[in-house]
Amino acid sequence: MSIKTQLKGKVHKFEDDITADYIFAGKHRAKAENVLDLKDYVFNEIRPGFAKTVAQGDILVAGENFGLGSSREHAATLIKALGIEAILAKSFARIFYRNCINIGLPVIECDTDLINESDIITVDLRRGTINNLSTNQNLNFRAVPESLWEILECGGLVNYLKKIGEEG
Amino acid sequence: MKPMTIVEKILSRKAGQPLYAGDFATVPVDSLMIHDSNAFTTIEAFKTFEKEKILPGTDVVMVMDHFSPSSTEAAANMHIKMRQFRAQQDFTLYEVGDGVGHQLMCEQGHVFPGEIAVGTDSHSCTYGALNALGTGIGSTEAAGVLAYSKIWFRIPETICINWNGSLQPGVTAKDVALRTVEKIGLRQALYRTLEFGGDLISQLSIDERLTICNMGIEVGAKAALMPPDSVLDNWIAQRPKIRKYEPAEADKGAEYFKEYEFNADDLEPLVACPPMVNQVVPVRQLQGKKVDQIVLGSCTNGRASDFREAAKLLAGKKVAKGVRLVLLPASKAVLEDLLADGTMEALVRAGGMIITPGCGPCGGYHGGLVGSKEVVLATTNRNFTGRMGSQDSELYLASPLTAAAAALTGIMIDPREVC
Repeated sequence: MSIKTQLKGKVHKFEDDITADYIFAGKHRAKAENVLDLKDYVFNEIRPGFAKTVAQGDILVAGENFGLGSSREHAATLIKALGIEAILAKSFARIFYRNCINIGLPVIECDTDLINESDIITVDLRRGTINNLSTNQNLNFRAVPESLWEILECGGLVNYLKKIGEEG
Repeated sequence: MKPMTIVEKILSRKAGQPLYAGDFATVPVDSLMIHDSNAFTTIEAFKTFEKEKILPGTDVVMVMDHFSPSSTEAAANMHIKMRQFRAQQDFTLYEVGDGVGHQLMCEQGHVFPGEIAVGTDSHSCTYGALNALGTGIGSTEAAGVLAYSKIWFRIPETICINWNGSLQPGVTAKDVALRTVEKIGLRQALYRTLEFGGDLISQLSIDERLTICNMGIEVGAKAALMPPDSVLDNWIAQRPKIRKYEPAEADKGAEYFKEYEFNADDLEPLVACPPMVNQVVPVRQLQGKKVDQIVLGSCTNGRASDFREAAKLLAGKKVAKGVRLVLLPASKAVLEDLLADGTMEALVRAGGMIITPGCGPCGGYHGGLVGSKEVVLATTNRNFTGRMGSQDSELYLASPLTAAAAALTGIMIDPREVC
């Protein structure tokens, strides 16, 4: 399984310090065994009805410290399951960042001030460029570190570990 | 060799080569904790590795603490899945009612100084109080550890925090933790590790150290480490299971990202206001604010010493009318200690309700969720909007002593005025 490197999608913009609780609240976890059955609760508390506004290929954009707090991987899994294909933020909480890499969801650290809600942007993950088609602005970012890219490229940690086997 | 911080030393030993901040390494994992909120995903991910057995080498622990006893049918089925996995695999399974994973990892002897202990919970940084590199991971990564007994890390920079002075009467380790979060902020420690030191830390019991390290994640830290000493060795000697361990001390001249000096002498009882843990003020600034519910316990402040502190104020008295006092012991062993010495009887006679040792209402799971406009004062670790129930409830964090004072009076009040 390989990963798309050229993305194009509509932006869903969030502010600084969005907690993993706000992405997916703990109080919903025990409503189903399989978290994939809980997609409708994503951002339910801070942006009710969010799940219905997402189309495959959309891009989530945030400020500082996105995903802080809980280690719940469901937060990343459910964002991906809704169809979001990348997250751009000024900075990420480390467990959330790691979870995204591990499930094959690209996470990019960059200045996000010039990207607005509902803008259409293109992202080239390998070249480290963003083109905001709505504002005609271009942005560059430092590409994901090579060792993490290898995990992303496999579609996540499971495929990566299977590929490198016991030697990793 | 260039001097090392504690985290550099632990990772270098495990990797068999000197490592410093910024390096990457794959290292063996000494212990792994997986709780019921993430076990389903971890077990499913493990199956995709197509391995019959989990790889020996890591002390694997599964715990039913987040929905315990089961809060829904789905929760009960998730617990069944854990029991079925245990029937096929060799690891330690803690049942409904045994307690919070972090407490069990420490008190039952699954984490030792100098080790690497990961858990599918962000508060795995708690293990730093035992001089272990404890850090939170996701469920897929936990499945990777089950299959390969190893994990990759980027060696983090370290922020050194020296706490000196002494705790004055009415001031506790929780106040040290809250002041630390206030001073470091929510983001400074992202991708970094905290290392605590100073005279104050060496005066503290292991219970108190666990409280401080538990909240390391609230500043974004990968881990929150404390140095080893004789207090720790004596505590470890009382564990039901012990394995040989090699503590890790920082070298003189180790390179820190930043160093802070704090003094506890002028510290006063504090409260973290919603919606973020760094919104810290002295409790006297909120004096008189009415509370509806008190939650005393959790992995932050649910040990026997925490309940004994609270009982100093509450024994022989009654909780204020209209206030609900939820008692949430961190483990069954803690509860048994408190039953044996009469502390729990005193708290229940004062009006407290004991709920099952585990996570309880802390993450919004069960056992005391709150409704619209209700005000909670909890000894837990997070106060994000809606975390304990309604989106327009208010959740404040404080010490067991401050919580007891509020339970007694029905308002937020400096506990020194009630003692």
